[in-house]
Amino acid sequence: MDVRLRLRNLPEMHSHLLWDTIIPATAAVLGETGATAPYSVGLTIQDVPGFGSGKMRLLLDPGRLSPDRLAKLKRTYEPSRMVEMAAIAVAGLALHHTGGHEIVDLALRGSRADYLVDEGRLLLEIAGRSRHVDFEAAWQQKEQRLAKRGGGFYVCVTEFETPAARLAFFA
Amino acid sequence: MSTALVPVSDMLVTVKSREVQRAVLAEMRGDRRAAAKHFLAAAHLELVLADDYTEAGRPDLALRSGLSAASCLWRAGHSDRARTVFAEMLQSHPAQEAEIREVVAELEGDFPVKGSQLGSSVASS
Repeated sequence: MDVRLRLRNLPEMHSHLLWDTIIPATAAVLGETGATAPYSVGLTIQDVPGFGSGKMRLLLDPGRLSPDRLAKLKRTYEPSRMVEMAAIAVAGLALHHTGGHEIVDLALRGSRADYLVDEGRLLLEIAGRSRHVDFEAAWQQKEQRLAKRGGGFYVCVTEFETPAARLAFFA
Repeated sequence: MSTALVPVSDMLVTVKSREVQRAVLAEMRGDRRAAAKHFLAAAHLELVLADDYTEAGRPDLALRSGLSAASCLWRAGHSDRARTVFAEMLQSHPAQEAEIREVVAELEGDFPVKGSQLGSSVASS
C-alpha cells in the first residue's frame, strides 16, 4: 500500500514540537539517497494501537524548499545530525498515519531525547541511521533500553540507505 | 488537549518541549551560547512541571521532568546545580536510584565536566 504524505503537514500532526528545521533536514537527507520526490520509505508496522501490523510505502512530498536553504542547512549541521532529524520526521509521520498518534512532549534524559505519545503519555524512542547495516543494532538498543523502564512504549527506527523504517508498539 | 489527564498546563509543556528542541538544535550546530540559554529555560520549566506532576499524583512524570531538568542544567554548563537536583531526586525517588544513576553516568560520559565529582557526590548523598 502506498501512502502519500507531506512533510509540511507535520506541524499540524504534532503541534507541540518545532518542525522548521526538521522538515528541510528531512528533505535534504532523503534527497541524498539519489531518489526523486516523492521520496519512498518502506514502513513496517508492528502492533501499533489503532492500526495493528502491516507494511506500507510512504511517499514523502518534501514541498518547496529553496536550494539555498538546503545548502545552508548542510553547512550548519553534520550529516549524522541531519539523519537524526529526518528520523524524527519519519516517526512523526508514521505515528500519525497509523492511528492518529501524537507526540505530546519532549524531555531530555542524559544525552538523549525522551518523547511521549498521546494522552496515555507512552514512551517513544527514535533512532536514525544512514546505513542499512546499522538498523538492527539500533533497533535492539532502543527496544532494550525502553523495556528496562517498563510500561507500554513505541520504538521507531529509520535507515536512510534503502530507505526503510520500522514502528512498533510494545505493550 | 493532550495533557488532560493531569491538571498541568498544556502550554507550559509545549513551551518546555520547544525550548528543549531549540537547545538541542543549537548544540548540534555548535552554538554554545544559544544552547545554554535554551537549556536553562527548559530546565526551569521542567522543575515547575516536576512539582506540578507531583501535586497531580503522577510521580512517574515528576521523575521524568526532574531528570530532564537536571540534564538540561548539566548541558547548560551548570553541573553544580544539576548535581543538587539529582541528589534531591535520589531522596524523593529512592526506588528509582538505578535509573537516576544511569542518567548521571550517561551525562558524565557524554558531557564530561572538568574536575567533576558528580558521581561520588551523588553516591554519598
